[in-house]
Amino acid sequence: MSRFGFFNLFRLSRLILALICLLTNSSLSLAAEGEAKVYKKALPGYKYEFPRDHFSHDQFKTEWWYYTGHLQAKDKRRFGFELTFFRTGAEYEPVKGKSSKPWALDNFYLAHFALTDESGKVFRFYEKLNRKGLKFADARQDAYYVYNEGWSVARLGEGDKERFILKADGRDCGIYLMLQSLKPPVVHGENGVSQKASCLGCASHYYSMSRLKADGMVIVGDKPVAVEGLAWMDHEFGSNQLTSEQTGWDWYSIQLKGNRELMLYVMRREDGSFEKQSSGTLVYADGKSRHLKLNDFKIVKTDTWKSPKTGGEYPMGWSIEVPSEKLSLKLVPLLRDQELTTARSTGVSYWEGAVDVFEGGEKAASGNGYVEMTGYSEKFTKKL
Amino acid sequence: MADGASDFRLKLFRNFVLRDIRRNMVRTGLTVAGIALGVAVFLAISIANDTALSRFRQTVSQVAGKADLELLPLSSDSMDENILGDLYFLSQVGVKFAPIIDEHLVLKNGEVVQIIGLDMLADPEFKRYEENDEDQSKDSNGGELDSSVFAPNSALVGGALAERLAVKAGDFITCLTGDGEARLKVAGVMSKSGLGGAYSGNLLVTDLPLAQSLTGLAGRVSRIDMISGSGNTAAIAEKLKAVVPPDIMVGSPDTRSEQASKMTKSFEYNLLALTLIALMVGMFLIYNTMTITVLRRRPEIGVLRALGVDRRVILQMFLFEALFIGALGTVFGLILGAFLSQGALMAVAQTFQYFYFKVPLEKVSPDLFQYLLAFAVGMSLTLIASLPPLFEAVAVAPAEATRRASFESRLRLARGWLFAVGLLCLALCYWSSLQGPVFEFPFFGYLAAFLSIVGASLLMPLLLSLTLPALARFLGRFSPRGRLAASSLSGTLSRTAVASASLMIGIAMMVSLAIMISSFRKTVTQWIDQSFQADLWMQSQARAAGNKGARLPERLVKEVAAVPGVAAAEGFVDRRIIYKDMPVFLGAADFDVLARFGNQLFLSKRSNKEVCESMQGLRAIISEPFAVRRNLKRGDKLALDVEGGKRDFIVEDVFYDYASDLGYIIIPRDVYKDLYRDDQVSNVAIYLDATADLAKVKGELYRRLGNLSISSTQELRKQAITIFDRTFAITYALHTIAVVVSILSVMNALFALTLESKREFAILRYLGAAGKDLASIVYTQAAILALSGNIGGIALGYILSLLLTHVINKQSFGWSVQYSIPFDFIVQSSFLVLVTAVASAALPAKVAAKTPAPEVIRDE
Repeated sequence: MSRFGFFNLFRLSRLILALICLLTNSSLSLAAEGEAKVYKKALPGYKYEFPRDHFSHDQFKTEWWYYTGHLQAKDKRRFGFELTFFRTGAEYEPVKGKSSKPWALDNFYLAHFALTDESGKVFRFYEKLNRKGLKFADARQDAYYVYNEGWSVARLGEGDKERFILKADGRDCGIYLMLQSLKPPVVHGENGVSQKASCLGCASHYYSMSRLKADGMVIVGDKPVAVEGLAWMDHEFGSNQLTSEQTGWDWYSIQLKGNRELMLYVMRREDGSFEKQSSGTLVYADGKSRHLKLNDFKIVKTDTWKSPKTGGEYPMGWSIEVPSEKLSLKLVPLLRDQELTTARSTGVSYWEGAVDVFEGGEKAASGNGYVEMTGYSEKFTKKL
Repeated sequence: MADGASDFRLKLFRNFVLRDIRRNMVRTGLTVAGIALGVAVFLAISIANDTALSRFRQTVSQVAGKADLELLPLSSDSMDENILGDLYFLSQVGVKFAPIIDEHLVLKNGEVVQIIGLDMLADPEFKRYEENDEDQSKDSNGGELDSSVFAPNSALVGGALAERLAVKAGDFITCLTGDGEARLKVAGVMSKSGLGGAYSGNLLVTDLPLAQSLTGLAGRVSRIDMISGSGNTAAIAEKLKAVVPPDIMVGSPDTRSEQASKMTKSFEYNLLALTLIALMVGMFLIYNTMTITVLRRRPEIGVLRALGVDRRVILQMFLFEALFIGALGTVFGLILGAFLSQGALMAVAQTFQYFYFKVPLEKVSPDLFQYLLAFAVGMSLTLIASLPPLFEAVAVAPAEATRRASFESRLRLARGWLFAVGLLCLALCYWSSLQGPVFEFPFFGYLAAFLSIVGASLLMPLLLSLTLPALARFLGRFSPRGRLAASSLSGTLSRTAVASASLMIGIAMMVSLAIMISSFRKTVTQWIDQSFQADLWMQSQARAAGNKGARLPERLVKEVAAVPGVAAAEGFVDRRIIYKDMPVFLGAADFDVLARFGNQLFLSKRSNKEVCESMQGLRAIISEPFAVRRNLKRGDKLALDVEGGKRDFIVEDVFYDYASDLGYIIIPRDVYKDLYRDDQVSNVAIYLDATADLAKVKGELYRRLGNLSISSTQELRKQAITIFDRTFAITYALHTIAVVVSILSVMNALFALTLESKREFAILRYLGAAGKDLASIVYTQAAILALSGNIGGIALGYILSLLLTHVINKQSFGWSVQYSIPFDFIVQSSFLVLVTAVASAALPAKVAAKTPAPEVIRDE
């Protein structure tokens, strides 16, 4: 699941698309017998409290926990990973009394796992979709424990001992990681909300743990490889949807040398312009952060790549400027093909990949990043 | 030279074979018709049988989708859903698994449809279906998931069902649940591909929890489907066996198809065997025709042989003739059979659906194989039947050119031997009838039937040669024509014997089927009268409509008992379980009530009270078919799968039962409730006080308990008889065909005789006999033939009926049948055959009457 998945209809797999139709747009689904559920909106003034805000917020319709990272083995072999857990609330209150409890539809749980093997030049992708059922999946409201079948993230320990354990596997690969946050969580946006459009409530609550020390192993082809590296965590929850003029977005998470991190997202409009509310956050070495408005940064694509699978034409290289911070960055993907297409995602795809970050004209990369691009293979989708 | 030879042969064929066939058009036609009927019946029945099973298989695979492994409950139709919790290891090895509800649901209009409940979020690879949607052209990749299926009480509807109910997305369908009604919203209509094509589109598909609540299976699932994926299926199955409780079986979709084919095997074999009798009559017809052809043309053969024509050419010519007639009959049979097959399917469909599995059987799906098989059977039986006359033709020496009598004289010499062989056959028949089944198939029973037919036919020549002269003397006292008729038959023994034999077989088939059906009917009627002792029977409307899984809450039994006028109420519950790879019904009864009010009949002849009172703890009574087919008897140990384990029961006794050939096991209700964790009831038997008014009590029950189905015992008896007659519908049809074939054989024989008697008739004309004298001779001969066929047929029919009821039926189904002969029917139908035979002599009699005197006599 891409990070803004639930805000946007067209870029999701058709299966998930249908789900989202149901969940976010009641006018599309038939008026059914059953009470519609009412969800809370993301409004300014939200007060964060940790660890409670790591847990699930079932009063909001949609929520995700999103991990990306760069890992390295002793032999310098490099991997990128993405592991996302996604919860989305059902539109109707379950019919009481009649259906058997475990199958009642309170929430849908989705998860995506992707592993980029830079040296092997292989990109692998897996997904899961479940209801709570007989403990198939859950996102606890009383602990930071989210799982979907065998994939999970759990928070263990307090204070200095706080660790996050990540686990996911696919048919021929897997990760098993222990993460330690080197900085306190950083809240994006202003006044507790990350605005996605100008309307009230067209927003989400959004925070990150932008520098997580990762230790663990990657299993590739039945072979465990000890790895270490850096990861990034996003957690976002809200109840709104994207406006109809928005066609897609680009999102960047960048870990720079000198313990700084940069998050940027731009919402692209039909006319090619960027949504005014597009913004970013710069996190300083001491954990303090600065909100960046659209006019605080500049993004220029330096190359393009046409997907042989979907025909979508993606930017494939960027130069990013934040003049006020004297930041000048070049982003180069580890692999060009990090596009996600699956059997379930018939004709609907997005690009989500690990990138190297070069700062100020360096020859060797000094930073890591992850880039997500959606809405580029849309034309292909419509042809279907 | 070679060309000259083949040219000669071709001419010979044309002149010798085709011209002859054309000349004897009527007789050839009758033979062709006889073969055609036999082949048609065989084909129709095998298509019907095959359709039933292949539809079941098809449905299983349509519902299974890509699943190649499944967990099946043995102790019930469903299992606890919590077992899913033990299956996590599967996802670690790449196995996908998903629970499914696969049950019957009764709609408000009384129709029973299938309901499939799926975890709609499970991997879409499992179940593929599409919705009919004109606006969008969705790809057939499957995995389409319409969001509306998650809306409360929403269901996808199969195409055929939607069409019949005239509903579309957004409409509502009302169905009956265990304790009331439920309204379902149509979320979409499925197309025929994938799951939507299962049950011929007569199904509802919903999200799992909705299906659970509609079918009263909260917390339970019918099966768990798995896609093993990795190719490690055997290892995964092995591991699963270790993980799941013993009453859960690790199988595949094929397992269920195998169970189905095992369970319907007896029914199918029996039908097929009955058609073999029709084929056998067809065989006799062709034997008859070929023999007569060869006999009639011995002089011609002699001449040809004298002219230097090789034996092989003679053989080829007759073989060609036989195969020509056989092929003609077989092809007509195939065409006719294709038409009849739909009717045959309709005749067996309800039986399959009522007793075995509920799969829509609205249209035959003929397989090329069925046609090839029927063709092969038709042709090979023709060939076998014409072998003796063929050898006879080849054996004609040139010198024998004009000695017509030699065959007759040899038959006369051989008749003693034939009689001896016939007796031997009958002895073997007796021996065979005493043998047990082979792999549950009454092989020796059918062998005995075959031997009895062959044996009786071989007795014919001697018996006829002894009785006909006596009859000639007897008839001669009244009229010389009678004497002539009888002695002419006696003089042409070879034809007479064959004709009476084929008539005998036709009548025997008719008589034996009549006796079998009558015995069955009488047995079942008596059984119903004796064992249905309750005054009223109560069940849910859903069960009354045909959903055997529908249940009522146990508290209703107490509520019924509290109604004034009710002496006792007994809650009975049954479910289908698997015992040693085959389904059987497990029932639970309240033996305290049964001891006082019931009247079950037991094989041991012990009283109902005695048996019921000893039914304490792990004891079971089993029905006779179950005992016979699974080889169990009183005092044996019976290991049953119970919820989560296995228990040994003691067979307390065996009771007579005709409700199901799969059999019943009945255990005490308290034991059942404990071991199967089920306290519901399927139906309630209500016993009234002697003084109570039935209608009043029934009214009060309706008033107090609401929407239930309550029938009086009388209504129930009527229903049972209806079901019985439906089961035997196909047998009635075969019965009619037997009569038709026998009459064909009489006509055929008479034609042959008349044509063959041309010389005799000519001599008689020469001697001054009038045309009507000749005609009356033919009529008399018809009567004699019909009479001898009738006598032989009734005798042979008696033997066959004994074999059918006591050997074949007993070994296939396990039912004890009280023998009962429907005398009135036999007398009526024998009379009918006699009349028809004599009436059918009209045409040959006309031919005979026209015999011109001088012309034919010349060469004599």
